[in-house]
Amino acid sequence: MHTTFKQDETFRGNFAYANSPAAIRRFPFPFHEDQYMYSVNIEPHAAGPAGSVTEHPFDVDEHYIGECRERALVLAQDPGRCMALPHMMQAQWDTLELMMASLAASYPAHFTLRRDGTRWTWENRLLGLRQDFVFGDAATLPYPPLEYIARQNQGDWVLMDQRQDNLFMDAGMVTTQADWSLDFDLGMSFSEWHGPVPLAHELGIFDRALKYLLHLRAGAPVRRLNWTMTIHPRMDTSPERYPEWGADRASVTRETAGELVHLRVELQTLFRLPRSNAIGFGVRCYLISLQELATVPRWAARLHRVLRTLPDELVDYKGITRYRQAAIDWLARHDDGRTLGAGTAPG
Amino acid sequence: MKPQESIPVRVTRIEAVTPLVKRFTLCHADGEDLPAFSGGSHIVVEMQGEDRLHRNPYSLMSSPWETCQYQIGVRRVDEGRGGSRFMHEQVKEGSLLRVRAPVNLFPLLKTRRKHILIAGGIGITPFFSQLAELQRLGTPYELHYAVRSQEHAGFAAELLRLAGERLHLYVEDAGQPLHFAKVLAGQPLGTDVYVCGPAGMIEAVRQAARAAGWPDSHVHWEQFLAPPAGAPFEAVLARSGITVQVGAETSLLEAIEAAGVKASYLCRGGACGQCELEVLEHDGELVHHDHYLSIEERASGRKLMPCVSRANCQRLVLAI
Amino acid sequence: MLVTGIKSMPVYRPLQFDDSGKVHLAVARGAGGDALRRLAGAARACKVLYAAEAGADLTQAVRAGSADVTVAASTAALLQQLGHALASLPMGLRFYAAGDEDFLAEVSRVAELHGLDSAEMQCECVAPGARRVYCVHCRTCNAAVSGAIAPCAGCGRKLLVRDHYSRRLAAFMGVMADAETPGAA
Repeated sequence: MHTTFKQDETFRGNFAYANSPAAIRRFPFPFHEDQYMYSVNIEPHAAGPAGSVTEHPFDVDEHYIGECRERALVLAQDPGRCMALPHMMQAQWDTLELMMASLAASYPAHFTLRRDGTRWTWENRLLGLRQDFVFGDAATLPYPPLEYIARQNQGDWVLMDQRQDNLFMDAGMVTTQADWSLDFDLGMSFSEWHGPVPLAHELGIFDRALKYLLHLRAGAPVRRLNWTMTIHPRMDTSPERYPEWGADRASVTRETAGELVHLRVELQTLFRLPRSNAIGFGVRCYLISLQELATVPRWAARLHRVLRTLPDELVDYKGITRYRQAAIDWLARHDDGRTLGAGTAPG
Repeated sequence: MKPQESIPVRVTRIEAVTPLVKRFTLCHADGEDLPAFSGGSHIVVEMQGEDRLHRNPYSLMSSPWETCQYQIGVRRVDEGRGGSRFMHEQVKEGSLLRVRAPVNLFPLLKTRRKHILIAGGIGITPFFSQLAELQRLGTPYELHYAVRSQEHAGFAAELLRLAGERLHLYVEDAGQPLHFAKVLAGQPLGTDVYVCGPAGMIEAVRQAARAAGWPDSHVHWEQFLAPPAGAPFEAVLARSGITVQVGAETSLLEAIEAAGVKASYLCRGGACGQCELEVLEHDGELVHHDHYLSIEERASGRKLMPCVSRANCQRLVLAI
Repeated sequence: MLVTGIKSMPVYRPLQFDDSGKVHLAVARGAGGDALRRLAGAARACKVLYAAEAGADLTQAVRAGSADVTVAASTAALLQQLGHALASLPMGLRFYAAGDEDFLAEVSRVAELHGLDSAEMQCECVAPGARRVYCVHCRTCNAAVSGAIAPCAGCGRKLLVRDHYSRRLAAFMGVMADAETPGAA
């Protein structure tokens, strides 16, 4: 698939962002049915259809350059958006190896990795980078290993240390999150950092998910989709910056909802990392405005129904409350009430 | 490579380290790199015998940073089900085997400040790969290694090179007993202990740790249970529509696999819970040999770990 | 956003002598001295470190309850002595702490630095209504916040205190309360 990489995108300020028709068609629309409820919807992260967001272990799309630039801006403003507890250094190197090897194998036109024992050379032609370094020696990289490679990958990445039949969020690069703080959650166990999620605990979802992840095996990554909504194509909706973006939520009307309200889908991937035995958790964020979504009529109608029937706890937790009705009203004109059938295909 | 698949390996070297233990060096049969792993990991080796397929777990002794070869140590067990005898007698340099990708049920806790490693006999094997990690991390540790007699101390010289004065060797018949209470006494806060060896040794260390006031969270052990033999029995696999005969020397898991039914498994030693099966019906008694199910789960009669557990029943129906 | 009913909360409980341990060390400040008295009643041998607070000086009662009591002149001195003690105490230790949330945060940090984990520590909070609140915007830790809304001493924003607790920071999460009011930014 030939990708034209957008050169001048922004995810703040003037929000110069749009999805090409191809990006819209490959969007990971998450709703199989007219109503949404949580489930442990984990499946193997096996190669999806050519051109899809799951074709490769790490997806590089037309927003790559813009997102990398946005990440650099976030980190310049707040270096604390990438953190690692001291015992996670091996997991950082595992991350670097996984991402470099995957990107080079998936996109040989853009990335090259050459290895001669521990003397490695990495080329990222999309960002114009070339780095010779010694694998395992952090002094030979301009940033610590996690930060170095995560600056060149789309999506957030969290490292979980596995110990005492539990998982602990002990490192991460988190700049495109939907309202949670790495700084605050660093060091928490699986159920602790999921503390704020309503209803799911009672359903036993986290207990089952944890048990499953403790047995995750190297070479067998898994994935699931999560979703929320954002006003403007704003990647950084962190609690840290909430004073800047919070007011956006109150600014939406039923006329402007099409342009302002974005469906935000997270492709979450989980990899067992070999030398640290840690789990790497990728959260890859895809944004699409309601009006872009409406170019796929089936999706607009389905989202209309999902928003209409969403339980109040989820509306509140996903931060949708203030503009939910505006979004529903805008989407209503794209829903003629016909049976849509199960599944997420554009149809 | 999917982890359900196995990796073809060639045996490139066999060394007799002690009268009972051989060390095997394995390389990828197609010359590729082998998967990286963490200290304490094990692989399951598949050996095609004349009349049966053996699948035995062995700890990786090689360094996690060595990507071109794995090393395992195999202790010959004459009264066992034949896997180790197969390795000792049938496998030669140049032999082809298959192994599953490494899994770690015995990792070092990276948040601890000091590690005490206690090994008995062949239980030394998982500590080799852990030593490679510890050398890089620089975390303080002690390695206490008990062997029956000098002729069984074949690994000692190498361990001395790796661990130096951190190695404490105890040769039992030379009157050098390993006193667990002494080893654990006076250790600084943030220390944890790892033990691998015979069941009696593991139990003794656990008790000594408890007596010294160490919380359970600071005590780790690994013990591969060889599936115990027992009276033959029959099991109905309800979903597959097959009835299997489980021979005295075969585990229920092996019988299910031999019948061509795909069964989930991980450690094959009763520790991890992955192979757990739901019991739909049974009369008689379920004979639990695992370390995974709780007392209540065992008593419920509704769960069974086929890798090591058995049944004394006329009728046993499983949801597989 | 979910404010109450969140599942990640600190674990405080009345101190209970844990006789699975072999060596015992207890610390308290101010009104926490009362917990020490109770503990000493059950404990056979327990080293005690205590610092009084203005308005809450239980030194006499603490001394009366235990044989091995060191009274520190200040919290800083207590923390120093604590670090000193932990550096030489062995595995088998059980550590008990009683005081307000700020005190518990500080001693927990020292304990964790020396390798103690939750199986070896107990914390009793004498002022549960007064919470430490971490402002995620300016990263200031605000002490003794009661109620659900409080101003941040660091950046001045009005903070909503969520029932989401970080053991690493030993504080509850504070997020700007009125950010969604139009024109608030």
